[in-house]
Amino acid sequence: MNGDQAVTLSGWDWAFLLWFLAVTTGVGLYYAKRAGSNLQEYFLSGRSLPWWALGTSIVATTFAADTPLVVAGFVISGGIAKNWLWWNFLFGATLTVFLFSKLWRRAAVVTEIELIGLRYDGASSRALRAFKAVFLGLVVNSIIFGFVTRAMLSIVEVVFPGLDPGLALGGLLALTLFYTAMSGLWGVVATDVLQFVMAVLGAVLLAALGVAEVGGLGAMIERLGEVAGPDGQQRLLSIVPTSWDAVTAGVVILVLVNWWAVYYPGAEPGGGGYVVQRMSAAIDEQHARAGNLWFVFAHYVLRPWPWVIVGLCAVVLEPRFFEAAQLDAAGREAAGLTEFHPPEKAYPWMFRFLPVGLLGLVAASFLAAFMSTITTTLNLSASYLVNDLYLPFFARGRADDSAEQRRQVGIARGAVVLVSVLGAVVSWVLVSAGDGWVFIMDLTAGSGLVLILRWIWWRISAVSEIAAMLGSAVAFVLVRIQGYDAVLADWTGGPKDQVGLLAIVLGSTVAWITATLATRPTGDETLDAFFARVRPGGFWGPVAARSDARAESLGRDLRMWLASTVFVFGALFGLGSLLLLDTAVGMSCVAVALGAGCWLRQLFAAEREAGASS
Amino acid sequence: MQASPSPYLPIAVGFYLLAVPLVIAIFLADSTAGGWTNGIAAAVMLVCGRLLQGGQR
Repeated sequence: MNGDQAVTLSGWDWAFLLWFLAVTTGVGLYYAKRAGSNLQEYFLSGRSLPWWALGTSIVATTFAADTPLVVAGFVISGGIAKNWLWWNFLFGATLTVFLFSKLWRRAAVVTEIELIGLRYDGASSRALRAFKAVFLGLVVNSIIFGFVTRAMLSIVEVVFPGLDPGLALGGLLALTLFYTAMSGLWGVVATDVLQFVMAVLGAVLLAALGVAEVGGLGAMIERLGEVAGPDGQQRLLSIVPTSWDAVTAGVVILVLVNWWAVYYPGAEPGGGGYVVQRMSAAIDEQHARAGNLWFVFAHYVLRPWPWVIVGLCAVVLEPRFFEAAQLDAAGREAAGLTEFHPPEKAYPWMFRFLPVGLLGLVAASFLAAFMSTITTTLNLSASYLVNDLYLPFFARGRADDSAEQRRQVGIARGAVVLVSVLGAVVSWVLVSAGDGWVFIMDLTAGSGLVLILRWIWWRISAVSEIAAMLGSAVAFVLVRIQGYDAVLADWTGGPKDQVGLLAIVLGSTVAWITATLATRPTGDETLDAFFARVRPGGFWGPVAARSDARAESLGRDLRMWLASTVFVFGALFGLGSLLLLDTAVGMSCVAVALGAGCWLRQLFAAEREAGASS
Repeated sequence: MQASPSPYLPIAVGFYLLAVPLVIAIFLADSTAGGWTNGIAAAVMLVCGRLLQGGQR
């Protein structure tokens, strides 16, 4: 079978696909009336989401249609260890669970940007809130929309050959836009739950059929050696990098810096975006934290392994994907392997082993992944524009007036349409889907630490955040546009991308520390009200001294962070090693995970006792 | 006093509806493995539907 031989869907598969779209839209629209009553229902589901719904909704959003292709492609081109490019964010994810979930829910904000109005004061606070509403609501989310849509275009070409990609995607977007605009977060979460189960089920069964085709997991590992040789086999299967090279150096820098410094959508330091929106929509603090922990577990432990196994099976069943990934463009051309590049093509290539029915489900799961990301992006953007731009700066009606509330929901629906139009334009003009992503990450590199410290250190002010962003922007221009990253890479011998990232983080950090210490702190009245409402732990010196509120224990929360990080990494590597038949390592990792889990349980008990005695 | 239905009932109905074509596809699959995997997929959908139908929260 050649790489250009497309997998064709049968009439039954098409019927399943259309049935899926009808069911999803119907479920989404069911919530339209409920969501339309006021903004709390529209953006926060009336703050009534249980942990399983909010956590599942977050994890459904985090993977777009191309994520399985990218992870399988990572495995083929750089081995399992290449996934450290995103595994490094686990440190920040568990930090958000145990240090910030409860605080976000206590703050009772609608969006992450609203926190600015609670935590800071003065003109700088108002300017920062308005800027972020426009920047995140229009710029960042339009880029995400464009990025995801552009990636989906190429998937439609591969998975649905014969269809006009533009037309098919336009129809899908129109349908998604319709039920998202009508049903708000209720519809988003309900369809996310359906879509997550579909997506995971499709991936697991594809992996199972791939393994069956290869002859079992043992045969898969053995045949990887035949295809890639002993060294290649070790590199493909190793969970940690096996040699010190530029890629490994880059991974180390990412592990040390990325998760606390870079505002990566979905993994924002201290929480942000749709993660905060879901936590704010939780029934209470406990549901916010438990839902966020479920998200982290599903995202890091459950989700990736089926995709990894599919990638490994593809290497065995069509070795030319692996061979093409080892060559440069000229080498591929000379060897006649261009149709097997990029390695992301391997995942849809595996669809040929799916039976009638399941093929329809897997194809629908791609639509599901795409739709779940788009629905959240639209709803979130609208929440920024309405809650942080329209309401504080332009609204004139009484907030408790029911007619005014319905009008606000109407404005929110209009904002959803506006962002989708902008996103469509961005997806049209993006030269490369990766461009927008890299731009966001680089432009915001360095602002993450301020977003963490604003919960922990009273001295952080609106000026700190502004300085961090400006510092990142100036450093971005110098490092990326003026090309100093190449000079620094030559000087240090490190990889250009990551050395450039370090330089931007350094520039931003110097800027915000200087600005923070050189300007006045936030006023006592604002700080006291924030402290009384949120009760954060950490370094609140004069503010804590003035307050009767019992603050969180930062030490206990940090121990929970450590325990949960070890637990999730242990489970991730334990499950992976067992799947790869490395029983000794697998059982050791599982034992470590269980030990960390027991420690975490003890810490929960200590927290309950401390709460009961206060 | 009658308990109000779970707000997640429509999701449960959604799972049941998605299971229907998978159940039919068990008999359309061109291999035993295909039949089994379609059956597993349908069963998972039905279990998810049942779980959500039963839960109040």
